[in-house]
Amino acid sequence: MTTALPQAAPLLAVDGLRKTYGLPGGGRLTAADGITFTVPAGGSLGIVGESGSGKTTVARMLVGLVRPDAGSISVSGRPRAPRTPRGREARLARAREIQMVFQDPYVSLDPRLTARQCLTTALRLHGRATTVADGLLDQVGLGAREAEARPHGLSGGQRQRLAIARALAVDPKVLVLDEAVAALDVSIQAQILQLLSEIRRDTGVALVFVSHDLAVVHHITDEVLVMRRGTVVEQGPTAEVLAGPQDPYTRLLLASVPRAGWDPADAVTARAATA
Amino acid sequence: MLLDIENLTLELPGTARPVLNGVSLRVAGGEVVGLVGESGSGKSTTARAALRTLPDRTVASGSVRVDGTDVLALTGDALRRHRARTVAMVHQDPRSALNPVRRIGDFLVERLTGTGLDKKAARTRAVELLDTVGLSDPERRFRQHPHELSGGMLQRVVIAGALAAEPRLLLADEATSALDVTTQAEILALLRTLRADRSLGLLFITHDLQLAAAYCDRVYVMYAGRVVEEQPAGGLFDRPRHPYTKGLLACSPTLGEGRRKILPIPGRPPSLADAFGGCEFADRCPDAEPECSTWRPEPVPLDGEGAATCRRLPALPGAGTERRNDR
Repeated sequence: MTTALPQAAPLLAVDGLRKTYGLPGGGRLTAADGITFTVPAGGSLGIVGESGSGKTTVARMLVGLVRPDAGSISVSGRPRAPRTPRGREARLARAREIQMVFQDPYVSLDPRLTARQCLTTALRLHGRATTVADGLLDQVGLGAREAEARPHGLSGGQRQRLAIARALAVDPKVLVLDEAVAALDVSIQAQILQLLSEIRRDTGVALVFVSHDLAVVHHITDEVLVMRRGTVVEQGPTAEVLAGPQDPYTRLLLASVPRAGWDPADAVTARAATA
Repeated sequence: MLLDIENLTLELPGTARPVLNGVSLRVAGGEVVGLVGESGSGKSTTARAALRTLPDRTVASGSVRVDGTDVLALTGDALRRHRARTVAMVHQDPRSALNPVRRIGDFLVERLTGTGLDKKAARTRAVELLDTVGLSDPERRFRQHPHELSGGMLQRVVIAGALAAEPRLLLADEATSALDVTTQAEILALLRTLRADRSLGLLFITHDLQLAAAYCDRVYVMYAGRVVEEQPAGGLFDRPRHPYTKGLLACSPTLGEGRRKILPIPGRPPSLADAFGGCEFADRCPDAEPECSTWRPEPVPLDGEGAATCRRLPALPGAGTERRNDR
């Protein structure tokens, strides 16, 4: 078990993040509230929860796709403006802080661009040498044939590799992955998880890994946030939280994961213990 | 035997290999049988064969028997009765199984009147069924529309619909994959109760080997249209024998002591455009020898129960010795 050493200034610091949506009829839905965490450079944080828990809302607030109602996000001590800044340089600098990989790479990639074009476009935009593209393709395990293929000519796993390479092309400090391995076949999922560990080791990029899958989170993260109905019910080092869950809801999630000698009725009993 | 598929081979025009290749599979009454595989392995097609909802121009050889009836030979009324009464299927997405503009009750009553009940009896029975599948306030659910219910509740409604005709065999095709883990556990607990109460045979199709091994009585593992391993579920965790089964277990992240290193299977699952001259798994297999790519795959019985389709089986380590746990 490797635990990241505490550092003076965390790479990513999130404090008191909140997002609510107005409901028809006047009420408000709290999608996320009181979200506070830090991630050190090269660290890995998991956000787990079920559908509707607010984990994706948090991920989208991090990259700036959703504007928070309250709270702050800062990268390397510099606060991120709630709105996208004006001016090309400021926008690009913001993009270089946090990049995102989505669940379905088929809709997040431009269908008209080949894998290499996808990367060179991002590289050129950020003023990096386009020769880096081949190195990036190699890093995520895509070969010469895949470099010239468009997204429809790639398999699901290859598309996800390309989406990761595109995010890395910007040389971001933080990579946010929203259910990035959920749609993949088991054997391909393992390849992508291994790739992410290698990238983290080699580049020192910090990962925020949003997932519903406790086993995957157990495998790839150092720290974990368990979310339910917009709030964090438990947070701490992944190994500790999963080995000795304090909150009844975390216990319910753990009891629901199939394993040798598992009985689904245990999860039903555990649910009775949660409000 | 409730479901007895014997040496079933299905060929479709325009594919390089058979969709199913010599598949033999059995489900007894009151038994939960798991069918595990990655996308394109043929697991859903196997279930469809039991309903005979196969694409046109499919060339089939072998036999599919449900309760002794040869399904592949059924036509017309007999086939319709078979699909409506004997076998029921539950799919992954309950929202696409229900008409969004009709009420939950209409969905059930339509099925029940099809079995010969009159309107009034069907209504009473529908409310009973909603209660059986564990929905609170069944009278109210009966009057609600699909958009008023959550995914887990809708899947319960679909299961109630599947039970309406009192089928002998239930096919669950990734029936819990789209649900949250806690809801999945509840639906699985429900299916287990129904199986026990009605001595229902259940074919449980999933991509999740851990889930199948934990939940089912017996598990078949499929790869590229072929059953590569069949074992009592308990044995799969401790003694997986086929290199593909071992690979699946070694590459699935698990909870529990420490952080086990996951070992990915190289390459990708084959598509229907890939043709093979020998063992389909040979080019991804860590134990393959050159002879494997010309070997005609056939199941080799395992000592104890089950079978594995691997040429190297006698040479490969078996019982309990194989747990690649290098942390």
